[in-house]
Amino acid sequence: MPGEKDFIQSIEAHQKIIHKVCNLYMNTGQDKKDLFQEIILAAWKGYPRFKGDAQFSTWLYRVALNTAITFYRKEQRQVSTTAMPEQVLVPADDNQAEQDQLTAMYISINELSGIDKALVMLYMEDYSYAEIGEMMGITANNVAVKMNRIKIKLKESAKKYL
Amino acid sequence: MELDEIKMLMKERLEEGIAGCPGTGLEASLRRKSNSVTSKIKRNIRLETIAFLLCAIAAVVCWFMYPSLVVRVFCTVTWVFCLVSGVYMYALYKKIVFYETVPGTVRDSLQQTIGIVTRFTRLYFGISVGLLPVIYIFGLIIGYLDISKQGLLLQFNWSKEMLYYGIAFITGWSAIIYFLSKWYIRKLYGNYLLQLKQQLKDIENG
Repeated sequence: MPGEKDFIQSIEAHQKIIHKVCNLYMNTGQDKKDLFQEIILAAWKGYPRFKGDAQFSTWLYRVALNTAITFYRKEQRQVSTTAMPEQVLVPADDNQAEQDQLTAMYISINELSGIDKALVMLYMEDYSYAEIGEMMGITANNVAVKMNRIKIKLKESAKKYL
Repeated sequence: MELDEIKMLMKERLEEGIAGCPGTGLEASLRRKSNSVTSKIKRNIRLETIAFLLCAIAAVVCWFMYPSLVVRVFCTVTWVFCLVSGVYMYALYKKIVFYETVPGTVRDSLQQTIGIVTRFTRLYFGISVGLLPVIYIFGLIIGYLDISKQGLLLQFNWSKEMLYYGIAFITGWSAIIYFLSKWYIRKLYGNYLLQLKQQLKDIENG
């Protein structure tokens, strides 16, 4: 199929973006796999209209976040928000304190709403507030206000798990 | 501990691959069936459109086979209904296809998905419940004409009990279809719609 090779090459080069979104939005391995598959298909459907006026990574973020936020799970499995996501269940390394902090922050982010998770993810990628606003459909000021609230919330929440 | 202090480490951790997802050779993933809600609705629309097409063909065949006025009126109404519904379905289908290929903002995406699911569920409910009175009226007219044609009007049991039985049947059947449709739609998309609306509220409340 025309463009398939280009598309696959681009995805392979940027698949860490998809992994990040899946790891942030889903807790179980099966859900992560399902979301990964959906993001690939959504990106493939939209690829013919990708004109290259934006960076591929920005476009892929947009597709991945839209797919994750509107992801439909048939069984609507209820996962406890305080459950330990698989991603943080890794053997403790030498730096136990750092590992604990990471785990606490991870659980705290996991408790956020889908929209707040998207904001955190784009913020961690060092996108400007204006760019985040453009991807989310809100103003840069609005992003700044929300991010301030989220940071305070995360700080408070992470204390509980330390 | 603040997010800024730990974000690099967090980013690295989140980038870790997912077990079972292909690192390379993604071709097979492109051939799989999507489970997204819009793809499911698209599949449903395709099936409904085939059903409408078959009904429209059946209506035309019956129109020519049975020269009775009632049957012809019934066939015409069915045919027009199928045509209007078919056009509506096609418009919804095109909208979904367009929406799937243009990744808008998260806010747009939420609004579009809510719009599509709401439109589809209303259509589904409307077809399931809205058609009942039409079917009852035509059923009664056809039944009446049938027994009058056979000269059985006087022999027919016109008792009050029969009338009560008829009303009870219509009411009972309508109630079953109404609640069954509502339950089914809520089970399929109810919770999902609530979640999407909550997310939209989150993004809109500054």
